[in-house]
Amino acid sequence: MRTLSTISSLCGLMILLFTSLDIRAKEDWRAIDPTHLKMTAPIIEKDADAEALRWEIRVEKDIDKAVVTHYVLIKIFNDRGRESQGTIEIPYYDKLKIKDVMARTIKANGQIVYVNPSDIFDKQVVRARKFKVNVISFAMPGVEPGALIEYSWKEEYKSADFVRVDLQRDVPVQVLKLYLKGKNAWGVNQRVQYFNLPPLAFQPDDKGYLTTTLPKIPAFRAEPMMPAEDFVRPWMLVYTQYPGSYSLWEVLGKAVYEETKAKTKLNDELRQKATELAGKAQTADEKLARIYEFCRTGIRNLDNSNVTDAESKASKENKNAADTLRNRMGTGRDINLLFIALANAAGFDARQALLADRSQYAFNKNFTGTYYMATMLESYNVAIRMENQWRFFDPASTYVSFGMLLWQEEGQEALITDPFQPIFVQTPLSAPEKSLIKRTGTLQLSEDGTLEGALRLEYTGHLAAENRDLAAALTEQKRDEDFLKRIKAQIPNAEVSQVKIENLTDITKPLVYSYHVKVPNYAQRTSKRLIFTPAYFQGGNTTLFSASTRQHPILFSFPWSEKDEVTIELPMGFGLDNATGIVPLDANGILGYQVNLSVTKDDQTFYYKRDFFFGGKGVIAFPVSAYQNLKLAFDTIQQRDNQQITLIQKVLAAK
Amino acid sequence: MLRQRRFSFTPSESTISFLPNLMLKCCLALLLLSQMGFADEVPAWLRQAASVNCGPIEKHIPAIVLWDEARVKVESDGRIKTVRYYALRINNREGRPFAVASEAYPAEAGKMLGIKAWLIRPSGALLKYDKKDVLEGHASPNDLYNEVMVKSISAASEAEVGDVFGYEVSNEEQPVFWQFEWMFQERFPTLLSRYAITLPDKWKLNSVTFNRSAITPILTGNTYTWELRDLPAIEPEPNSPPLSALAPRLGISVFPSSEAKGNNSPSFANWAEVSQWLHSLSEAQAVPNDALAAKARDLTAFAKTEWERIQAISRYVQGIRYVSIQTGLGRGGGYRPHLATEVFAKGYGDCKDKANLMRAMLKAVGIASHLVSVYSGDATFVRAEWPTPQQFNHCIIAISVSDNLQATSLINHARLGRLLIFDPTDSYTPVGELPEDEQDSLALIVANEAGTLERMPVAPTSANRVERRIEVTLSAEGTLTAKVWETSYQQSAVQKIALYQSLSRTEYQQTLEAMISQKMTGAKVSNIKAQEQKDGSFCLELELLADNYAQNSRGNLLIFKPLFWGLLTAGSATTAARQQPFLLAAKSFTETIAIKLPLGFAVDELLESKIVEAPFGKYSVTAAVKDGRLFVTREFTLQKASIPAYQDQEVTKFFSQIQVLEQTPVVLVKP
Repeated sequence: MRTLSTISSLCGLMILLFTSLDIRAKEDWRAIDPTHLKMTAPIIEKDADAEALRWEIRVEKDIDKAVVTHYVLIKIFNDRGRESQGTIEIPYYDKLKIKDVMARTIKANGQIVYVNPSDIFDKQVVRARKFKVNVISFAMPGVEPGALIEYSWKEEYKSADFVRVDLQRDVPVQVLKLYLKGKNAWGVNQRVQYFNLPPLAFQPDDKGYLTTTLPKIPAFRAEPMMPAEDFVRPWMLVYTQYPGSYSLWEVLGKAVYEETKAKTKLNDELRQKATELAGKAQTADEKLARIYEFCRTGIRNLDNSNVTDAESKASKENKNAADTLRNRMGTGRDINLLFIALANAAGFDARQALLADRSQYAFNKNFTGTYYMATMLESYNVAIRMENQWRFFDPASTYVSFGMLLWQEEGQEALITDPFQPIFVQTPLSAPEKSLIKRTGTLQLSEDGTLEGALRLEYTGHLAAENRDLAAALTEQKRDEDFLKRIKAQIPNAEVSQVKIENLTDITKPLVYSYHVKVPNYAQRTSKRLIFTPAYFQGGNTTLFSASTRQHPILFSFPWSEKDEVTIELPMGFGLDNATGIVPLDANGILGYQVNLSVTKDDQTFYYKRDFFFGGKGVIAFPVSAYQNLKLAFDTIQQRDNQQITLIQKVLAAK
Repeated sequence: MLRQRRFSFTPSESTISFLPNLMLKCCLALLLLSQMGFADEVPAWLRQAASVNCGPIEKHIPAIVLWDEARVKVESDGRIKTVRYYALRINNREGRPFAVASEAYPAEAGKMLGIKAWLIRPSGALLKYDKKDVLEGHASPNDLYNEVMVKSISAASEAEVGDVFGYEVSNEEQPVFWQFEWMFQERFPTLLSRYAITLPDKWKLNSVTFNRSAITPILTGNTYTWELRDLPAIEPEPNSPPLSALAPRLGISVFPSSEAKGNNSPSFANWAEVSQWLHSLSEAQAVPNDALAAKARDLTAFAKTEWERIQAISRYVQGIRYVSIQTGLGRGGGYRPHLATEVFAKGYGDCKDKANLMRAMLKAVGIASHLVSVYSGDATFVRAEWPTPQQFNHCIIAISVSDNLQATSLINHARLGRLLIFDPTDSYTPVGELPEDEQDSLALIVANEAGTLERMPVAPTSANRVERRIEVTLSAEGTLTAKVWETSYQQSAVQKIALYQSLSRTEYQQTLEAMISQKMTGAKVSNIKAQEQKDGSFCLELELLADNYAQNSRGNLLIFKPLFWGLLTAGSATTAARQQPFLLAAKSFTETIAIKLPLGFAVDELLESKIVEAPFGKYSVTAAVKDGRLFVTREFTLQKASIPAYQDQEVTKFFSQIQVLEQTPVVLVKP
């Protein structure tokens, strides 16, 4: 089932309100091109299940209204194409109306089957008080391989400063024709911003439209570890630009600065607290860290998932930082404003910094329309000028360490508010060593292949923040259960006990999981040998990149590192059999992998040390052209992690 | 068909699973804006429920159902009013999402009269919810259109551990037929579960209890009440029977008095009556017109035998798209197929539409058939002791065939003769076979007064098998190149055909690469040839290349696992202290591997030839070296079985032994 929309996709729960719709007359249909019916294979992508032969989008943008007309003609090549394209859903809500729906199927033999109005359903997806979401849905009749399906509809926006136009579908498109008409009056102009494609050259036609053609658009297919869709799919925004020469970011940066200034006005309480927190701190970092820790832990964060309803109800609205300090509770925004106030009181230059979430938005600072404004205003990070550079902080994110941001906000352009000249500065990516998982194991291997012992996992940085965030919402029992599931997913026959989780809320220390494990048949026993994989913590890992080809760039969430130390007491009477070392891997400082294996002279204790990091030099994004090398690197690491150690009975070895 | 759904142990099974994030966000936003104040009163039943001492409840149980009651009043004009009372106590944070009031009703045949909810804190503080907090949604998100609607109120965002959430819902509707169902519990422990029905004078009823001993109703005046108390939790366990086979359920049949007026809904005393009713709804829908008949003749133009005619038509109907549109539910619309001519013209329909279309097409070429009502998803769901259409959720077809025809999906009907059972909704199971979850179930052959409940056929375990042959070359450096030939039969083939046909060639290759990469990092797959055979089997050929598959240690030792394709212990997960039976699905598998060993290496250690046996299955592996080649054969047979909980260690032991054998490496040394 396909869902089409120029607005965010909506889930399909439906309440029926069957109404008559504005259905176009049969005379409005276009002539059928016989060559389209004769087509037997796609042109753009050889194994496409269907192909859009023609796609038209007509945008008529007024100052605060818009009408968008869609037309699609799709050729179906096989049953998969029939399934994926044969049912149409057009969601709409509130200030949007759907009109002039028309649809028909032209079978391979030329027979035409129209969609009857009674087969088009206008359903209410959700209604809650005055808010409602509807969906127009219908099934194309008589669809079979070789058929054409053709449909169109109109969207009327009652109120729209901008209209988003997606320029890619889930099937390849032979030709996309765009028509734009914008009302420019009284200095108000309609503009177009392009994302993931170069500006298009429009030409006027005889009906007052600007038109352009995009040929041969490939189908969009999501891939694992790709950037957010907004970063890779081509789309454009048709938006209203209001008169006056101004920079939106400048206006926004100044306005937020002034607002912040008012809310962080210093009083005696704030100054006193700042002095108290700074105490005898020797360095600026130390001073700031104390203030940070106070804001993070000394103020009850009402945005946290474990805040009870009673606490919410009991909370008072904070009008400014002084209120937050007095009440000892506040929203995330309140906490960061308090941090700004205390930092300024301690002599720092602290401001609010606005930025977008890179996991969702393809933020482009050169775009001056209001499209990103809402998401920017949702963020409330703090920028502090220290030693001629800007550093960023976010005590409102309870599990984010000092000097780091949420990973979604690292590596992003942040707007630093200022009374005169707001500027953009890129927030740094935390180095791999900041997000470290350190794993230690003290284990014993028995003659029958059973491995048993104590294990400990320590997380810092983003790895710790992710785990803490997930764990905070769970009961103690559920946390243990989830942890157990993770271990079992890697080693299904592991018997786990004595699970302990430490420092769940103390971000100054690593988050620690420790447990005892017993794994029967961990080592394979043959008549002479014991064969085992010393990389215990990598057991059961699956390859990161299994596909042999790639369409989209690759983006990792953040740099990270791993440090493993495993000590295994070997069974008596066994020694190493033709053991070899593991070759290290170094990819220009972006990725590093090194394993050291050693054994005591008496062959009783085996040591395995593994060091890995990824994202060095701040590189976590890779173009498609780098995929094969990236895949090879991770495949190689996994093969080396799977390397086995063979022990042979010494009696037999001596022979 | 309208089935009343309630929530289960995990949120993913809950009725709230139909609510998308958007709806929940809407609900949260609106609830934050709503004026929640202290209620004037809490109904007495809820006060009573909230005051109950639950006793010690294990911490991991998300919630305890304190009160679950339905009161049904049947009016003499045939309408029924139902009031539902439900209350639960949140036991831990995972129980918060279950603080949701949710009830479905058929929009055309009924209406919801009211819905109210309350959240009572341990302190006594109260939050009240009413119609302004209601979200309306659809009960069947997979349907293109369905009349059934759901109204819900969510207190999930406000609920805390220790709170009691309760709600009352009242509905009015005209029932499609005079039969009702009640499930005494889902997965949570339930302190009180009660169903009461009040009938007009001289109306009669009977009831049947499933999954426990019979419950005799208490009769007070015209009100019949069934009640159970202190039901323990039914916790989810891997490979366990579905909840419908474990939780106590009630089936009630009501018989209006002969004087009752304004009531057209039927009652059913036996399966023949159910068959007659379904027949009355469907028979007129299966009349072919000229176009449909012409198509049927066209499809069978080159068919020489009865079997070929049936095959041709079955393939065509399987190709009709599945689209579900449910209207007129109050008038039996959930059981009446759309006209076969309409389904043929549009090229889409639901299960009963497709089965009915096939009836019409077979009729056009002189082959008789009948619709069959079945339950898809649980072969034990339908019980013979309760004749009702309500037990079925799916429609297939039974085709009258001659004595010559042989297939695994044949039954002999006492009156109707030999019938070939086929499911045209399953796009991949060919005619002559039946989908696994329908095998061995009870199904109703709809044949007017001749209709009976029949046991669906079961394919022999040996028919459902996979046969594989692998030729391998291993280099001294450890590189493995292999050619694989695999043929799958019956349901083993169906799964693989479904995968193959649902993906483009590129996606299929990527999927195979992902599967193989689990065991052979960086393996490359090429020369894939996949084909569905005429007999329904599926043949797959491919080539593999895996660098460093065998580990070479100092050039002297080569270690590798010869059984690298498809370990046989999947689906064997269990849990400690099991309470429910362990279900095993039938499987049969044979594999021969021939590995050309690298020159200069000799086999130092070979995996042991062994047999592992249990009453429900057998596994054997043999290994031998001859002429520089290692030959490994493995065979595996698993019978369909339900292993009692106290014997689950036997299952664990069986699969553990197999796992050890499958992980055993071969060691080659350079002399």
